[in-house]
Amino acid sequence: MRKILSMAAITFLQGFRTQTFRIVGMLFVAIMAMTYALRVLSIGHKAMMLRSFGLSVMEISSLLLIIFGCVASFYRERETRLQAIHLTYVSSFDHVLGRLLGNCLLIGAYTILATLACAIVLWHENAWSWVFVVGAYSIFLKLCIICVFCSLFSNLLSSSIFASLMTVFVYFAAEYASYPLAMMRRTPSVVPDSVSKAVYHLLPNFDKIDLKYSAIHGEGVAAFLILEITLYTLLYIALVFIPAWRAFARHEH
Amino acid sequence: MEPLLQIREATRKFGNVCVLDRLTLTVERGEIFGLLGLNGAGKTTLFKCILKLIALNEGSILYGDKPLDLATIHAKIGYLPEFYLPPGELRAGEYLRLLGLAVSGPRPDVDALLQKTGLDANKLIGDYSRGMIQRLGLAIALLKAPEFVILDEPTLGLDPLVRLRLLDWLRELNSQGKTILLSSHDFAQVAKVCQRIAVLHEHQLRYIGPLTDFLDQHKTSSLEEAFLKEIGGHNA
Repeated sequence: MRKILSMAAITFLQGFRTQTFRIVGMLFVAIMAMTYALRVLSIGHKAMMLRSFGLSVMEISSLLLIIFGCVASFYRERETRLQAIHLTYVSSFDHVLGRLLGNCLLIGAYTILATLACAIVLWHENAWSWVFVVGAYSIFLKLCIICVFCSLFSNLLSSSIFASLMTVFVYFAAEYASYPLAMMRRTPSVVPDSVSKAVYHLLPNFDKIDLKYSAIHGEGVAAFLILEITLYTLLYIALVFIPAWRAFARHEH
Repeated sequence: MEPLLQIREATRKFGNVCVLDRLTLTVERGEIFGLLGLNGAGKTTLFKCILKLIALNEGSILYGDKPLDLATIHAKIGYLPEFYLPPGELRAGEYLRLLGLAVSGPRPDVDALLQKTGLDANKLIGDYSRGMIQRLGLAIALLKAPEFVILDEPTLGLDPLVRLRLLDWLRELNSQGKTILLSSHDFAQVAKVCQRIAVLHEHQLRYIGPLTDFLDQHKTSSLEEAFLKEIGGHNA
């Protein structure tokens, strides 16, 4: 456990202090400032608009952090012989798990900071609701799943550009996988229903994890649902982690 | 002398290219062993095979009298890679402490190591010079108090003064009982610290034995000249 924590702490501190983290943070602040300035346009829906933009910007900027921060740091570590040093201290399992944990912690820290920034704006505009925290938590869970995919693609592919593109692809595929399924219920499709369903279940079901809608509308969320999506996320991460670890272990450093 | 590391018939191929060709050598406990070879001779590949960062196609590596395994590598072998760049966003002290967490057994004395290397614990690694990074690399290699240290081009890019200090430190470590395996293109420095050497050329071992015998064999006092004669490059 100490070895995993060691790798996680190194990954977290490295990621937290990079320029990428600061740039993504500044981008978040800039968009939030613009949202704040434009709040007057959404007459009667100001609170919902602010909450919606806050969560959406948080999610997109976190995704940028994964693509430009986590993927890039993986390849940088490979080029600078850091992996070679780390692997003389820890096993490949500890290394991959530690890095994944470190990246999830990084996304967690970013989500907390972004939630605090949003809270100040929302409080000021009387738009704050505690369900906003639940919405932010659901975004964190989604991005942890994206982190494990980022780990998988970084270990599988020799090009960081492909790894980034594949990570983005999985994010959008998972985000919108439920729409074709819903459309097929109404209109017949050439793709068999079973295939569509299989693809949907193979991809992370972001439509079920995502609690942004409740957070935006200020609707309460049952504690059981939060527990359920947390367990689903942990299980999904464990399933994707295994091939990511095997790919890393097979790779020669 | 007692053998510490025994490499037997080690072969490694990358596609059709044979980078290590049935290499057999032994490093004795308590010696400083120098591995000499031109760029691309297979030195770094051999080190990576010892550390199990690359798998051997054929052959075996023994540590003491047992096959070398990952647990032994993690506990007993320190490594400084060539062109090593530690994370620039971390401070030297915190990086060493965090890596120290990964050490099995008793917690390493990071402060003593920092004092020995003369590194500023609170300075960001990104602000370090090449020489300081090499010293940090050596500190990392020694963090787990290994009995066997592998150094890949430890003097690369260092100014003469830092190089001299580093070699003094290697001698000191050796006098404390540590076995050191190093590769270097700096023949003068190798001649100063190594008791035995091996010459790797075109992926094969051309010589292994005491440094003095190698010099006598080529009737010269210059290791560089002897090396060039050995590989047939003295007329170049």
